[in-house]
Amino acid sequence: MSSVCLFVNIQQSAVKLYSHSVMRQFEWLLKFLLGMIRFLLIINNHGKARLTKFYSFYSEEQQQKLVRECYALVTRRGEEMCNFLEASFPFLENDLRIIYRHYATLYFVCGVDAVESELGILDLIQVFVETLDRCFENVCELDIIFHPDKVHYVLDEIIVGGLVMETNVTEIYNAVQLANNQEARLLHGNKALNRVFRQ
Amino acid sequence: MLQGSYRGLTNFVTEIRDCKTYDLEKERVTKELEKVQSILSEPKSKPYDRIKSTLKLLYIQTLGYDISSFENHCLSMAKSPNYLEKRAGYLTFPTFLGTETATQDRIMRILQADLVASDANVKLLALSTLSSLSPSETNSKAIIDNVVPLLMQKCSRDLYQRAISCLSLLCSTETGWKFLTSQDAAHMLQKCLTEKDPGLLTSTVSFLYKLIFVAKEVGQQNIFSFLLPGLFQVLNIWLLDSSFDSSSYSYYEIPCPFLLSNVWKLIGLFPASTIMEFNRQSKSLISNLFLKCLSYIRNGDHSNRRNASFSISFEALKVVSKLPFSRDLFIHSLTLIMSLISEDVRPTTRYFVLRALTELSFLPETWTNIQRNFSILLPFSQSQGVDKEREEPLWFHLSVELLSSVCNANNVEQVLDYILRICSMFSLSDLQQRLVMDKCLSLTKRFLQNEEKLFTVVVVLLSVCDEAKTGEITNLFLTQLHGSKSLQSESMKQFSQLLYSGSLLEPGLLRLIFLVFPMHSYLLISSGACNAVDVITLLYRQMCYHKKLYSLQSSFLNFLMKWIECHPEAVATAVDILKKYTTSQDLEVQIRACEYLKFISSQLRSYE
Repeated sequence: MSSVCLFVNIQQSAVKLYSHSVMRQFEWLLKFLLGMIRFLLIINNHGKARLTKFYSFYSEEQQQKLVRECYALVTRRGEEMCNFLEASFPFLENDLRIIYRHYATLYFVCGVDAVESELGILDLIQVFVETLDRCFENVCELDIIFHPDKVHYVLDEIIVGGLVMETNVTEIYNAVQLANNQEARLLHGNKALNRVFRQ
Repeated sequence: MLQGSYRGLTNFVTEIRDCKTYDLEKERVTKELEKVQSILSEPKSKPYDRIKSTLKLLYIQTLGYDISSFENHCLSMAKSPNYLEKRAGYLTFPTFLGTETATQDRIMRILQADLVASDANVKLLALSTLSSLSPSETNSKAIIDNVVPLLMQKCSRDLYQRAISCLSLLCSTETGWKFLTSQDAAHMLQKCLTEKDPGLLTSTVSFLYKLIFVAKEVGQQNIFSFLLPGLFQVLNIWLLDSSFDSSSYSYYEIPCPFLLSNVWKLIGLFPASTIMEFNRQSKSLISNLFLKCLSYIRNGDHSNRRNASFSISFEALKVVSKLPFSRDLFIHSLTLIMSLISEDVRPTTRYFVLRALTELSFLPETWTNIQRNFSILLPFSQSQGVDKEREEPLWFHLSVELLSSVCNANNVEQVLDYILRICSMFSLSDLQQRLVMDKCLSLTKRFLQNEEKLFTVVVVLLSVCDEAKTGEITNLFLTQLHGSKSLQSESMKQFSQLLYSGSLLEPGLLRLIFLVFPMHSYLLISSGACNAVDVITLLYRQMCYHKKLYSLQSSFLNFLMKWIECHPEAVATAVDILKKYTTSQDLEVQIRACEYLKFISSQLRSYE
């Protein structure tokens, strides 16, 4: 098919799409497709949230309920069990898929839409953990507790607006390191700040 | 290693960790919030303190405390000309994204100002936040005006990745869709797929997946079919091009599994005919790509490598299984998949195998393999040690899906047997009951010719499903029963055997008996195989176990009236039973029993 023909087709189809009925379908989609990844939580073995990142809007109350419910769901599962589960929360309209991994004292829990690939997200959690491990040199719970900002920066290099942006550990690490160096440099410029910023 | 931390923040976290009780923690947080409030309200406070206070707010929010009252302060931080203050302010933004329109407008104004800033780092922050906003016409216009130009011209890798993620907001608005289906967007999207950098491709493909998914939902995915050559080109480069060095982006020796599985997933959104049409050589290319993906599968390997290989192979299989390839290719895949299963298989492997077999359900060999390996294919069919309560939902759903997908007219009885066997192992949840019922009913309607088998299926379904669903099952039974003499006699025999055995019957089954007995039991009664009086006595005995089910009691009373119409010899027994129901706890049952008694006595008087 020639490119001219292709573009004519695109435009004709586009015109069709503006019809009222189609836009009504978009309204429906708006409800369900705000983000492919809905949230990522790091919760410790005692149910304390160590990081919460939501890519769809949930009220403060819903966020806390999600943390509690996700912890309740994953904590009673044994190590030999599958890392995926379908979850239906009474306070949310749609069902979610929960994909989680348990590392030492921490659960990494990811809530995704039904269309997201579970096996892919499982790999993504591993990428996130490997990056943290590289950033903090053998990451442990304490690193995540005392550097919440840095963990957020790492995550922001992997997922943006619920979409996966980068999966290469080296690239993510370099970007975070660059931002961290810049932060240190900017703080160096201010002597007062430099005194209190521990290097 | 990332160095540096804010000492005040570290001290605060330590103090919170030292709090022994929730009340102490709350007290400490309240005190800190007051301190943060005073720092952020003070115009002359130091930037360092403001950053530290904002990060404390983020930590407090993670602990589960409400920080919405700091909205204005956080927005002011994001507006600050100081980059670090801005960055800290932006970190708290997701907390306020769902708030009222006025706040949304303020956030949008800040973002718009930052999108045109000369500092690339500021632009990065704005783009990351913009992609988290809810889709709206205003946001779409801002993206088209400020973000699209970044993609059209040469921009840095980081900017590109974030800018393309922002485009996903355009999928759900009229303005956005108009742009995405324009010539400019088509050029831009095609250009994006020619990138060699896997990071750029990952963000592009994530966005494209959302775009095509939306297009598919409105039945318009074919207008984006011009992307197919680019998508196959990506797969070709990463999987087959030996001159291309993918080592820097390999993950456990598999090149870019997340990107490649997403590309397959994206291709799978197009209809099979569109996929096959894009190129004359597409068939051999797809087959080679698929075989390469399968070659990454190895059992007993490192778990992360295994998961990555499953992710990429499964998405490839989903695409290939709907295309007209040779049987040999599918048999090869089936053999490879079945080689993964063993008794001590890992859960993700089992998950992959069950889902992959569902995709290959069209092969007759799949059913043969399921039969041969049924005991090890499903975890609950062999081990007693696994906690069934917790593990069952996933395996249950996958197994029922798999079994119903392999079902055909030749194996329907065995498939139903397997499904019912699985059902009998668990107490099913509401969702599972619905799934089993839907699957069994649809399989029975489509394939089942054996009428005796239908009875078994109905009886098991009635025993596993709750009362609300019995109507549907009974209707199916009655529809199938209509006009079938042999089934009538056979099923009636089985019903009476159940009754005479004295075992407790499910309410659903009793309801079915109430419905079918008055109509079809004449063969049994006339042959002397059972007695009309005994039937109602036995049924009354059953009803004594369901004293709280008043709707069932009402059905029983209706049954009695129909029964004595066909078998007048049972009137005396029926009257005795009706009298007992006149003292029922339920008013409706009471009234019904009294009315029926009145009716019977008036009938008897008229006969006399």
